[in-house]
Amino acid sequence: MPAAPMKRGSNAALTREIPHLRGVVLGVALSSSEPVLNDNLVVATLLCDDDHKVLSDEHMVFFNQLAEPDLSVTQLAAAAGGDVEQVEVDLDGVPADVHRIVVVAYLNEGMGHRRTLGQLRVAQIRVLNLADGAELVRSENLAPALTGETGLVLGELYRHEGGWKFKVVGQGYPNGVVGIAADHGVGL
Amino acid sequence: MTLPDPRRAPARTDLPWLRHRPLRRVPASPAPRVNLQHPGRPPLGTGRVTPAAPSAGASSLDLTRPSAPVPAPAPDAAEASVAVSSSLDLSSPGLTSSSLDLSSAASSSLDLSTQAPAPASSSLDLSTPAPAESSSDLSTPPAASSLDLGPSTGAAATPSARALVPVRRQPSAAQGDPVLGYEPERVVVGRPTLLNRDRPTVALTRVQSGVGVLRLTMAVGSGVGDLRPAAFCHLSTGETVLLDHNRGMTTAPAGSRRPVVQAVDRGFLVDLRQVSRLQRLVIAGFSPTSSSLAWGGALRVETIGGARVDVPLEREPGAGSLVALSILNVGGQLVLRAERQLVPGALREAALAFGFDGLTWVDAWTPLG
Repeated sequence: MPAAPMKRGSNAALTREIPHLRGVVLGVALSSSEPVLNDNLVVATLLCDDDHKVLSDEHMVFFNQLAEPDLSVTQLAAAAGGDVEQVEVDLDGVPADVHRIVVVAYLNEGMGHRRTLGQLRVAQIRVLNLADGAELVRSENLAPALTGETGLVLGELYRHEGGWKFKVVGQGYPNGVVGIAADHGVGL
Repeated sequence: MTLPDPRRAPARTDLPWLRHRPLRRVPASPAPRVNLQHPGRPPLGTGRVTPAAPSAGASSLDLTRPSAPVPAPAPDAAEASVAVSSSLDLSSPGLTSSSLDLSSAASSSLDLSTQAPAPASSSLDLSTPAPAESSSDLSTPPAASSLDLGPSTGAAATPSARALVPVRRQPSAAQGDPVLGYEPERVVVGRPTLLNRDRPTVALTRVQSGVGVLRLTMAVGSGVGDLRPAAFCHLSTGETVLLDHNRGMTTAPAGSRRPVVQAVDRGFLVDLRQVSRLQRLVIAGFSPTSSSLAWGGALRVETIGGARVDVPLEREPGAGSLVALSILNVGGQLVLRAERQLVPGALREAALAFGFDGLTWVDAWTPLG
């Protein structure tokens, strides 16, 4: 029987519960009935220091930069299992300077579309074991709490006492990717 | 290998000629034979293991020679071969394979040597390796991944020669951009970049090239004349599109519900969510009445984060199309280059001068939709 979905703000000690865990897959499920919204949804992963700032612009992994320089975090070209995007994380290969791996979703804006994440029916993140694909944890559906936001921090992996924990964040950004980039030091 | 920085390269005064050179016609005679045999080698076919014949369905490049001489084909046959084949085939002309076969059956290496190809090798090996080399010889590793073009023999495989064997470079930002080949100038927020003769190019990062929209706006005064912006766009689908907002040609692809590039009043928007569909974009200014314009003002390029690039439109007064800027997608990074090229004539001449030869024209200003 699968565990209950994790609430916003809750966390799970991944490597403490599974000591042999070497890698995870972060799967993001986003869906709506709006084709324009679906076309412009982007999932990105930010490799940040302990101050929530990316190490460099090369440490934002998304469709136009599918891996960070050390190849420890890579976004798959095609996702499976109901996710729109999947990101593989080699936990042992993550650079020591990286303390947080933040997964965000945003609407690519600027072409005149008037859409918001409030039109999403599903916004969820889950963690799979990279070795066997087993689902470890899954967030609750974050979509019902969204209204006029165009950016969303879904969750993050972070270092804790020599291991890795996962936290469901669910923080929305009314100013979308610009706000997310400003908070995390990404140069746009 | 790091390429020289193009910003420090000497000026190329021959580029306009290169842009206008006519396409060379393919000769009707048979293609010249390429002899890749090393001069010091024994004749092929003596003392060598005959490679397996390429299968009919092979999809690899075959640079091997047939085990028996085959007469040269008649010109008609060669022409027919050229007509039906779109692949690179340096194999015997008598073979009817249209494959690209670099290997014998059990190997993926390019081996022109007199030795049997090493099994499971993925290297490009044009050398003549000595037989029974030890496994420590880097010129013929059993699973080498290097490109060995040296005429090495058993005696030539010295330690110093081994030291020259290229080692695969690990991509690293510290060694310059692994795709562009040099460390490009970047655009930062709060410090507009001016593209001029001294600094004609700048590259956006993959983040700047893939987030939001790229907004291109022509900022010109009324004294310039009836200047209108136009853009030529080449997409990854092979489609070439002319964008001219005033004549209703507003989207690339034409008529798309989800355009990659959209013409707006005084400029263009590039949807960077679809940046992988964009190969090249060229921005020009022109007079729809073919008037002489007092060129001035600037083309402003802005990212969603506010990073800005300015391209001056200043030239001596004249008629024609002023090609101001080209944007090239290099592995996900948009490289901006100030062209500053005044092309006499109509838009068709500007398109052809910059390689957009995939358009069919109704007249010199209007492509066939």
